[in-house]
Amino acid sequence: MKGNQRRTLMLLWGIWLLLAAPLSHALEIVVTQGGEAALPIAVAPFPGSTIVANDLRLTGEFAPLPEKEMISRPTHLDQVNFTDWRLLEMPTLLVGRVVSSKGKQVLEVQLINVYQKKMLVHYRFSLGSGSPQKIRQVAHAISDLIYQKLTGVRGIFSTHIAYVSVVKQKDGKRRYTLEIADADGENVQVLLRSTAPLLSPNWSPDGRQLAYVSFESGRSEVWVQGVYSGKRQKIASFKGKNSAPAWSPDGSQLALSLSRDGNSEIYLLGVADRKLRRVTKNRGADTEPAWSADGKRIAFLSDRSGRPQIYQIATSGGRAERISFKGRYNTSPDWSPDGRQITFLNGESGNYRIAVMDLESGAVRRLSENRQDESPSFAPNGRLIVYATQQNGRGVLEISSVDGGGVQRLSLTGKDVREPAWSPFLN
Amino acid sequence: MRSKLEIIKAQLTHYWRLLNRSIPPLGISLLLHLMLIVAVVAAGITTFEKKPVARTAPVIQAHAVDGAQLRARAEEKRKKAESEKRRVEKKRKEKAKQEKAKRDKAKKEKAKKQKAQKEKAKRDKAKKEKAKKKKAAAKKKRDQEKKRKQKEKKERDRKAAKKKAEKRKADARRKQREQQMLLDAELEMEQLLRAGRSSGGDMERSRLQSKIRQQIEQVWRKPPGTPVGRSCKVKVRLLMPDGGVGRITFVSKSGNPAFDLSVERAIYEAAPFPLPKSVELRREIGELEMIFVHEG
Repeated sequence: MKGNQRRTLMLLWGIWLLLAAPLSHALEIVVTQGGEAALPIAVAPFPGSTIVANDLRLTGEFAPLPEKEMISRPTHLDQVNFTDWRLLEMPTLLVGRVVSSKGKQVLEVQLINVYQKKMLVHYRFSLGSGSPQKIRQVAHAISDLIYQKLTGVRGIFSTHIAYVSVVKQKDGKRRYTLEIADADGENVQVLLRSTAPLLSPNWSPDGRQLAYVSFESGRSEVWVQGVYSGKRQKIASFKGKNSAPAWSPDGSQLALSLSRDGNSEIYLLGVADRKLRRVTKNRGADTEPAWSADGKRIAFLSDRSGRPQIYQIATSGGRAERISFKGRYNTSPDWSPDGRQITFLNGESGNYRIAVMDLESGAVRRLSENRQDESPSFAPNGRLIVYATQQNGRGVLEISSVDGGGVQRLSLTGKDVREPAWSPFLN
Repeated sequence: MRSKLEIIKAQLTHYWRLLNRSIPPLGISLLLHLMLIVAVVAAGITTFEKKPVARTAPVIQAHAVDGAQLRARAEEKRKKAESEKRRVEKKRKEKAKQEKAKRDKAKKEKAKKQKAQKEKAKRDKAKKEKAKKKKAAAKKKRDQEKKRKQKEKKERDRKAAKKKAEKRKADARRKQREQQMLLDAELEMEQLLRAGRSSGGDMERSRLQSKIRQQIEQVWRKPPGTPVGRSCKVKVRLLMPDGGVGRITFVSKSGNPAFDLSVERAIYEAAPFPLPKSVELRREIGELEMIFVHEG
């Protein structure tokens, strides 16, 4: 009897629990505080996986798990033991494998959300010849897609960086080479060798040509060279100094700094018709022009105030407006692709560091803690900046996240490099 | 049979009060009652069919006891129940600790094994013949390892399920005891009890909220450069005996998958969360609602 009654009571209680539960209000928790850190991601081994992991690391937004710390190495979603990756506190996992499809080698990659145990996205890439070059290209393409999937921003891993490399030979003479490398500093290709100094490489907006300054004739001249064709032509050889070429966003003009009228001023040169138009008119020296993305304004360096500071002026002419106020030395401006920021070199008490200025608020943020930085250049997605700095007496390239995600050094082993310029998107 | 009807009547009034307290709309409340009555009748019939019902239900005896004694007894029972709860909690904590140690050890061992295998692989390169043999051996080992893992997992799952079942049984028994106590108690006493409990519940609610929030804020790492104001809202299902995290569902996403992933990661890594002491609140927080906002 007692048992029966107890059972009845339990049953009633159970029913009540069942019915009452959905009526209750969930406890609400609002979280606003937390640190900032790169998001962990595991890239399990597949052809090109180390390149992908390094690409993601370069952005400062992702922290790839070192391969040696992996407990298992799956190549497909079906093989994933989720407990392994939960143990390693990895929210995301990238796996890949090579499969044969219609006689072709195809790399199949899957991005997996470890907590939800589901695939976020998958891609297939033909490996073609399967050469290291092709695998590298595919790896960068994978990085681009994964980055875009996770951040909503286009990846820059298939773009290039142009720079000048200097080698001191045994006879004491210097050799200058104009080179391009992948965004990760690998896959170096030489475009030009010269015994005279090369300066200021600048990409055409379609990424097919480079303008630069060469001293091969004994004085400064501006040249334009096809990146893939190798064809080159002299485009500016005016009296005096010819320097700092900068391609307009529509590719029709080059902004230059010329001293043909006695004093260094900003000019626009038509690439097709070679028509020259003067933009600045001032007693101070004006140089280092940089275009805004809409092509309507040019930021440049001027010492008209007695100290080097950054100004901007409408390309149609008119009054120049000073935009850098913090510190006594601000040079080398480069405009962000969205037009909202300018990166530049800020000198203060003997330290020359890369900084970013928000044009609307005027707020300035320093990106490096080095002492001798130079030549900052925005990546085409606006999230990273490449610049040169000194390490043990030679130039090296560093990449810094605009948002303060940290600094990564590009390898370019054993070289003395300077004047980096980030290419536009190339496809 | 008369006594049984009385009990049911008392229960119904009790539920009526409880339901009134949780303020459901009248329609739901009526529906609940309807279902309840159906359930009661069904339960009554099955009970009746089995055996003729004896007349001496133990609950009746409670009517003979006077108020003071009752209160004393109720107090004693409550104390007993509390100490029992504390004991169970302590046991659970110890077990969790042991399991964590076990897990850590397993992780270390795994890493060690991995290293050994890697070194082996290096040596293998020298002799192709040997490599083949070793490869086969390694595969076998992996398979064995896999089997062993699966077996272990099964064992773990079985144990966990058993534990869960036991806990459920104990909970049910405890709840029943409380139920009987409530049924026996006088109206004044119940009101007193209710008043005490609901204000205590509010306090526990806010204590839990801030505790869970702190736990998450300690491990949340937003992606660098997250713009101020970026936010998302999730529902988090809690696993009951231990406060672990079951499923997370996004009510609204931030528009930045990396941000959403950082939120998922923070919740899972911050778990297990503390569970409330009171039964009502425990039932209530089976699901948590969390809003993550980057305030800069």
